[in-house]
Amino acid sequence: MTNETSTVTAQPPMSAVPTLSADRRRPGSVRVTSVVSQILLSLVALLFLVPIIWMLLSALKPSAEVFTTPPTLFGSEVKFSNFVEAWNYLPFGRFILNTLFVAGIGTLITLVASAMSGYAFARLNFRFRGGLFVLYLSTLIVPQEVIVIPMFLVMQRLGWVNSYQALILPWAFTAFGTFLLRQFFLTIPRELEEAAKIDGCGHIRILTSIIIPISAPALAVLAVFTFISYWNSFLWPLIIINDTAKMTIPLGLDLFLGQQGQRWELLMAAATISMVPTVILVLALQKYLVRGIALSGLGGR
Amino acid sequence: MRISRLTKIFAAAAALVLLAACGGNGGSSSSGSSSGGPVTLTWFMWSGSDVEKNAWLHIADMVTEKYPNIKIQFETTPFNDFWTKLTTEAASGKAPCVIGLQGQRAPQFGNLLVPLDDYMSKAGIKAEDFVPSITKGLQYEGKQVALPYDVGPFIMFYNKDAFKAAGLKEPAIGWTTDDFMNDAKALTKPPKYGFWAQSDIGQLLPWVLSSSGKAAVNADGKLDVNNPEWHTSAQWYTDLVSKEKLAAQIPSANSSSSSANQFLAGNAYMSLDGPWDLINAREQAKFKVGIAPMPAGASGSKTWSDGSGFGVTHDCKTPDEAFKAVSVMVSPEAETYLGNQGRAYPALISTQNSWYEGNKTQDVKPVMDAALGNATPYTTIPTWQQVVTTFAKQAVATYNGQGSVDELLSQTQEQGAS
Amino acid sequence: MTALPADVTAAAAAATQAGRTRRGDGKAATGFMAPSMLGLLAFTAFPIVASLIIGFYNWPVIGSHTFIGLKNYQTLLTSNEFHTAILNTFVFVVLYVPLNIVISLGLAVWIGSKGIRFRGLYRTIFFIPAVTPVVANAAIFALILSPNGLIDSLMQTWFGVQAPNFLGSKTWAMPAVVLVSIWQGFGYNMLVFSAALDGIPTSLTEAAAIDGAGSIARFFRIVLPLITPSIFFAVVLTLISSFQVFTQAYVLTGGGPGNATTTMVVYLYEQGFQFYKMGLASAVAWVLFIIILVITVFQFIGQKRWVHYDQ
Repeated sequence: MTNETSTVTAQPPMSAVPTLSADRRRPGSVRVTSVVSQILLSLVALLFLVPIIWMLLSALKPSAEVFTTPPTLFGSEVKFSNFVEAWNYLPFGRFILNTLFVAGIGTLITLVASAMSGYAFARLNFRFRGGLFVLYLSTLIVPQEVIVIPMFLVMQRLGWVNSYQALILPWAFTAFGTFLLRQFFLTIPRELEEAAKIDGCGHIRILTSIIIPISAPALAVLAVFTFISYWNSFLWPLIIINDTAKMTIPLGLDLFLGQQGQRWELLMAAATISMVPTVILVLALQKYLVRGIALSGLGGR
Repeated sequence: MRISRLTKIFAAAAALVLLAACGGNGGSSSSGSSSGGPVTLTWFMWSGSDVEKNAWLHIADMVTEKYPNIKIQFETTPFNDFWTKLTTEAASGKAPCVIGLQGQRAPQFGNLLVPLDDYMSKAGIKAEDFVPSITKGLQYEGKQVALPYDVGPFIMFYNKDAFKAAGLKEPAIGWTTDDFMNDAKALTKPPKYGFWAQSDIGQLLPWVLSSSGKAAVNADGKLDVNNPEWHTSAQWYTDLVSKEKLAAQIPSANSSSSSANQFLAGNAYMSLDGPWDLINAREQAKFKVGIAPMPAGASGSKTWSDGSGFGVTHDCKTPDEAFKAVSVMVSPEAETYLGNQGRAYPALISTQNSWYEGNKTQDVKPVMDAALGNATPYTTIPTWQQVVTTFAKQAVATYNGQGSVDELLSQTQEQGAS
Repeated sequence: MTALPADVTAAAAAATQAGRTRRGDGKAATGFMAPSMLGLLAFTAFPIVASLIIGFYNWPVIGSHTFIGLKNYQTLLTSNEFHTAILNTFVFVVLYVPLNIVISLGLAVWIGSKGIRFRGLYRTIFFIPAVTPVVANAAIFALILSPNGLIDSLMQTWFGVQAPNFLGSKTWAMPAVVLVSIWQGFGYNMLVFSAALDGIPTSLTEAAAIDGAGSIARFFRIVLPLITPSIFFAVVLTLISSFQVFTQAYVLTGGGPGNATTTMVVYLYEQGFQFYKMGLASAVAWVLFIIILVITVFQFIGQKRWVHYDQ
């Protein structure tokens, strides 16, 4: 028996309806209010960005001028060399490569495992499907802290402490991806597959040739969220990695914080470097994110 | 049908993990047999920069030079991570053959190490050749578990240029806590302060020693900090920050601010530190750095000394070779090298001159002798990590005037009971 | 023999087909479910059970483990530090979650309101800190909040007073952690609310406007009820993650000053991975889990009162 969780809301289909923004009445006063509103909103956005702007500005200052009263936008010189120095002081290239590797492989595994199990829940009939799905959902509530302690002990026994697999595997099989894709697959009309079935296609063909291509937005959302989650993960890497050769970016930054307590300008340069990849990712994929969230009908973090 | 499949899968997974858990042991700390054939053993030592790492690699070469059948595989991490990694490796039975050990951590990690007394007498290495305080500091349950390579007393670093500019007499042997207070008052002009206060318990300890002679651990080896002597000193230290305002407020309880070096940045003109940082400080600071012994309190000018050495772990499969390696690491040749490089103030007494000669620090010899003469070993307890962490967190609040000295010391004392 | 009516034949064929499919799916299902199931069992189900068991042991990392029954939980019951940790966590949750929801919803509405252009740009801007490492965000705020940092020097320049030592002050440390968390975290919910708001058909609000409803009334009577499912989800997930706050508190203030920012997970990390008391730490993890579970269940029960699902 299917167990459609009634708690997930199905959003009305995106294409059909005009959005709230279209309003043609009272043009004059609307325009003035909306201009004021736009300006205010821009100010709020600017205020919101102050920490990031300050980070960039501080990263370019000479060491002695990071803390000045009154605060200045620029120091006596603009030191782009701070970035080079920060990069060299700790093996930042290594950290980035490590994090890319872990996040990349982890996301791949997650996509494959979630697509397969999502398909099973959405399209296949088997006994205890309903109960199993509830079980999956319930694991979403379990905080990672419950898991890290036995995980640590297991990794010790396996000799996997301080290894890439320890960073990747524990989080590649969470129920989140299965849930997300199952919800999405359920919204795909079955007619598309019926035709294929009649032609004799097996489930694997159906999944790979029909379902996956249509699911690009949902897959993109899952990929982005998973990648970002790996990229920014801190607690588990802190526990399991203690060798600079295997550190990820958040760990590297924390190490930087601990070692260079006084070189704030280098710290800010390092922070900037650590932000660049995920920001680029989001800028490139921003269109998908809102659409994907809506299409998958999933709530927030 | 479905259930049994599920059970099978679960059982398989569980079995896999448990099997791997039972296997997967066996130290990989050394290869080769102990009979004189070629041996490769791991040496795990902290280092904070490439310069330090290269110094250790040089020592590793010295080992192979003397004993061509021994090859060293050197592993390193930054100091803060060293203890965690060591613990993890030891827990899985894979501790490296030779490890660095700090005197402070001997109670905690001493049980990992093989007693070296027999090896020492066979090889003719005498404990008396080394500075007694650190030799004692590296004992565990009465046995020598590591041979020391460096030692240092905790002393006062001061900014010579600032003292000169303020027309003050430089701190010297025999100066007192009153002198210290007067100097600090004259030098403090916010945001520059006379002194740099820190939340580490080792920073407060010398003041307690000089004021009352009391240490953190009593004669029975138990933590004893919740007593009137500690209260007096802790209150005095707190007033330094919050009442007299001769030291800046402590910014935060996380690791970055405790390692922040306001002294080197020129924001504080006096700071307690060890000679292990002197060479670095003189290189980095834009002013002249001088050192002085602890200002004398009611109990004299007392301080603690600590150092580090090398030991052989129980997990090592080739302990004889490992000891040979250790003996080279603390040999006169190695100590002279380390002293010259400024990597260590040698624990091997006969080689201590190399530190002065190699780094042109002859000017501080009288201070070093005086301080070492008045130094007691930094004795700790096995749960020292908890003591340090608890004290540091609470000290930030207390020193900044937001908690009582009572809270600070009673909470710290609780860690000694567990 | 009379041929069976066509539809009966068809129905019979369909039934057999379905029956065959149902049985046949079992094999396919095993195959498709295998990676995910194995992974879930090994890395989620097994650790959950294991950690429950470890919580009943005294389990130092080096040395032997001894069974001590409920002693760990007893220790927690009487530990002042643990009580503080629970209190701190609740303070954080109570400050963080409402602020997060209100700000993200408010901004989502504002950005989505009529006459605002470049919606995508604003949404991206507010979302950026949500995707950058928390450590980096904490480092930036450490710079801004420290003595002689941006806030202090601005206050000295404009008002001639020194700012409090935020991160070194027992009263200000937790608000500082909350501030960083909000700045970092509300972007996600804002996107979710934006998606929900985008999906509301304007025919509804226009009809209300024609009937004379002002924009505030339109918002509270029509828009808000329609997006309650998204609000519910956002609240549930934000609550769950807020109880797990660790990185900001650890990086910004190390859990101090005193125990001012020692949250439950900071305490867990300290006990488990700095003092190596794994049994005690497991017990802490389970207490955290139970608290989260109870609160989530209450949410689900209570949703009937205020969440409107209409399809």
